[in-house]
Amino acid sequence: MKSRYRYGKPIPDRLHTLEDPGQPLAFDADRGLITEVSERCDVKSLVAGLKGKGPEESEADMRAFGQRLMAATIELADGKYIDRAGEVIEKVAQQTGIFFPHSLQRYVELSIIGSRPLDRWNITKATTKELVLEVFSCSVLREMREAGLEAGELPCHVLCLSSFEAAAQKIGDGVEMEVLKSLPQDGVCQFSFQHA
Amino acid sequence: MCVWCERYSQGHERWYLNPANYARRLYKVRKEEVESAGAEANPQAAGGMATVGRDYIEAMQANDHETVERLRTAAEQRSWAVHFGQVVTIEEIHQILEIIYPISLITCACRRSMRGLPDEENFTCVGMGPGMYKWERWPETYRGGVHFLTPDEGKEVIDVLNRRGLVHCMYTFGTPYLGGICNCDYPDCAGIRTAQDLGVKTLWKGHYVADVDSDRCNGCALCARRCQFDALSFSPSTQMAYIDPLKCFGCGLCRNVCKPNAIAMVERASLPAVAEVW
Ligand code: SF4
Ligand code: SF4
Repeated sequence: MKSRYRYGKPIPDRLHTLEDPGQPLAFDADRGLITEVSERCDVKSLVAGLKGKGPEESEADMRAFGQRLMAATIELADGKYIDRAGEVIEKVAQQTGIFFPHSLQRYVELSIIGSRPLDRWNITKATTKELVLEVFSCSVLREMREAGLEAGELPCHVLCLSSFEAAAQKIGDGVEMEVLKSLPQDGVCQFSFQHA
Repeated sequence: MCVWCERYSQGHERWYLNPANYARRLYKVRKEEVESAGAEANPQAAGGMATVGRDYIEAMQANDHETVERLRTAAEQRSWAVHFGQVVTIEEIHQILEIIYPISLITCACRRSMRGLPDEENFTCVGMGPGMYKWERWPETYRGGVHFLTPDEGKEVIDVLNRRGLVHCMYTFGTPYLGGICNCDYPDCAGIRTAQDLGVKTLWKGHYVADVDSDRCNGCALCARRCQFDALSFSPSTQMAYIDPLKCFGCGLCRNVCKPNAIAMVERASLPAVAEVW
């Protein structure tokens, strides 16, 4: 693509300017979104419901929870609680044709903030080819430990992956996912999203 | 290896080639009070010239070395923690443009204040990373507006700036987070002026040093006007370019105009005399 840039000059048709000068804009995650997502997708009740269930049933519950979580996040983040960062991300993606990583990152972040706002996590890579999420403290795992449910392979990975998978489907942009590290062994859950 | 590579490269060849130094969360939980435009910390206020004040200049003029030293140390510590730059070559910028997103062309705060350039002639700076999606938070800094570019478009823009003779510098906004590619010259740019005129290291030398091959130099002197760091001179007697390796910042601008390829960019680390000169 030719940028049509001439030294120092604005590029025709590409300039974003202030749409409504002086108006306050809300960029951060809305507290209303957190309240509603947490109510619809309550981690404590999910874990309580796993007691006495076998691995397959637990996994199915986790998967369903993850899908429900991302559906709620997308609905609220793009509707009732749309934020200015999300609007600009979409506008830029339409203009450049590049939706990865930030359209996906937005849903991933809001789903975590929405369902477990006190977790500690970070984005450690966000290129147009790969997005990496690291979770250092996770309330799903904590609840499972407290309920004596943590054993062997982490079933909660299914929760995260099914949720992220739903976000990847929404942006419809050929994304592969991998779990590179796990909290119990590595002290961090590391998820890698690769763009084809 | 510079101290920033030692601290922040995490196994990558350079710290500014480490994608972790560009990645950040998009969201935090919204505060109770209304977010108001411009109320957030202004990235422009972190600029180079703000690093030292009038007391520093007065101490310099009075030859008060003790005060100069004290103020310089404090200014450098502040700058290195928050906002400082390092010179990179055009090849490195092309690599960097593959690991950063979004990429945005914006106006240059230094040229605005030093030259009084109107916004429509001043799109020479590149802001990047998730913070750029929130550019409207700082309406005064970005009052000329913002263009979002693809990586390929970003490379084209950088090539235009490079041909014009501007030095590419990577700037931190809360070290080690890298949020800007400044395209600088002397005397417009606060980073270069603060380093060159005031001796405060808000701009670090790059990982390369230019070296002239006297067998290849044909004496055209095309390179002589490219250096923004007073490192390159043209000798009337030998009719050849001379580069002072102690002064060279490794930008590669002189090399880029040398038709017979008489200038090579050599790894600083391979030259014992300047390996630790940053
Ligand atoms: S541009 Fe190259 S050939 Fe010309 S003077 Fe400089 S080093 Fe020599
Ligand atoms: S001598 Fe060349 S590479 Fe070194 S600072 Fe000057 S223009 Fe840049």
